Amino acid sequence: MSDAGRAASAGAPISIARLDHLVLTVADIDRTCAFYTRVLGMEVLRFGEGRTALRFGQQKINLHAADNIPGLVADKPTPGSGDLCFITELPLAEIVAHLGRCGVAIVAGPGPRAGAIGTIQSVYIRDPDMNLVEISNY
Amino acid sequence: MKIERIDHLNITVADLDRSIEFYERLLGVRSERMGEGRAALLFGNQKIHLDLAGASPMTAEKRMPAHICFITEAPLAEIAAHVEACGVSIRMQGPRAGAIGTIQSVYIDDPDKNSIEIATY
Repeated sequence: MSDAGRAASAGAPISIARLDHLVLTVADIDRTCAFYTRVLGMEVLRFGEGRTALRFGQQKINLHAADNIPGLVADKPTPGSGDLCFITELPLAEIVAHLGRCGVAIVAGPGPRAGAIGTIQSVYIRDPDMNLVEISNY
Repeated sequence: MKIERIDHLNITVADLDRSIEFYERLLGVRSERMGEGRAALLFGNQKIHLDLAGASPMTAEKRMPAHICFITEAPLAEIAAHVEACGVSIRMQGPRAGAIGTIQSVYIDDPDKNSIEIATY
């Protein structure tokens, strides 16, 4: 099929509403769960056959153990390669105070950044696998 | 502290133009250039940053080896038809465990071999 024919037959493109989940490959699932529940208030969800996710709002992060990677995954699942930004309604000063109480070091910020729908106020931390985690407020 | 949602995540790509063209065509997202070696794919109230490998000081040393699941309201048959019309191979399709219930999903690979799931509740 020609490119033009392909484009015509594709019809109206599908429209994406939001992310549902993504996968983080981690060295130690229990360590990651402890961090994300304590620092970011996420809920641990056990599902399927021994699978684990971190749930928040309408979204979740599925966790894969680096030493037990299932069949259908990304090309190079690697602990510590993630770079994610989360939204909270907590003001920046309270985010910073909370991270201080949790004993988590701020590696960049606080400061303004370009969020998906406007300017966010952000701080950056590292999770136990050294993923870069941005915590932000509109 | 309570997390509402993901705002964005960053994936490192080998070719910005190739990735923008792929995601615009396949997922109907809008793109925005953000200076040298950087772009964003916009949808709903979220976005994905594309970082050209090695171009940005904030780029992780390792490439983001992503599995990402996107939600659309299009039914599974339409998702599959659209993906095939785009000339993209479906690796797997069927019911999966979504964040808030069972989703019907189509799995594909993006040009950097990230595993991409397109799903509907």
